[in-house]
Amino acid sequence: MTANEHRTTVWPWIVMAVAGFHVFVASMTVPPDALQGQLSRIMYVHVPAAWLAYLAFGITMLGSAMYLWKKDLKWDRRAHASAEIGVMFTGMTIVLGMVWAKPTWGVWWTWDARLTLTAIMFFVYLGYLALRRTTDNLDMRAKRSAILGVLAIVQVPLVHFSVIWWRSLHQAPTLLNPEGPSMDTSMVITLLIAVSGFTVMYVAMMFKRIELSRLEDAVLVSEQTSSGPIAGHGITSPDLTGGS
Amino acid sequence: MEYAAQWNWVALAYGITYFALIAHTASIAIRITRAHKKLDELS
Repeated sequence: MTANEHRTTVWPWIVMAVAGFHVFVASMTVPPDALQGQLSRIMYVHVPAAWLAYLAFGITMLGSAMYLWKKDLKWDRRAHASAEIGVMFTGMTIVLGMVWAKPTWGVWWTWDARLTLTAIMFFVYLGYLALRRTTDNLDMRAKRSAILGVLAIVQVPLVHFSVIWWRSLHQAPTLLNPEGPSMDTSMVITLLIAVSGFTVMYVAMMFKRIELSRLEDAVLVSEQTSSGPIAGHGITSPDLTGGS
Repeated sequence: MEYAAQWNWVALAYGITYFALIAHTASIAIRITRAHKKLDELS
């Protein structure tokens, strides 16, 4: 074993595989919808992906706020880890929505309020990830991204309530409907299993992503403190002694 | 829409979902391995 002791946890991978398998089995065995037929099965991955995007960006906001308060980099790492996973789930939500929209609405994309705001949210959080690459100074990077991480959360309620506030082609909430879920019980149970499975996958993924952030920061600090020529190996200092 | 055609869209959606999850997980695992390697080189 080298100086850098490799003790990495394996259980998150196993948990993810088990949760993913359960979601697949549940969503393939539930009866199809009376109107949409088999296409309704897309909902069991589209809705959990959207929920995870909300949750992940909520955790990013919490991590960012905690960093601004405590100035502890561990909160910044949590915010970053959650933002990266949230971007992945937002992208997944958009693409799965498109796959459902084409056979149902007849188009891949329309400039509907819900769709447009989700796309804007995706690009803002991509910007959050890009912002983190603008400096190698850990504190400055954490401060800049924490401010954006707190401000960007305003998009989550905008996206969620857009179908209520504006006339939208996208359907209104079915599970979080104020008058109760407008679905058959078997579909509600399956959707809850899928949402729980995705949430478990998010938690497991967060463990590994935070481990990665910790290692990346250690590499950065190690590189900055290692002795070496400031201008790089390719540049030699000029000879000012006057010798030949 | 035909019954079989509906299943094609479902297969595409689940293919994309599980591909994205596996690809992102693999990306994290690969970056962890690389970071360990880099730390070994620097220490």
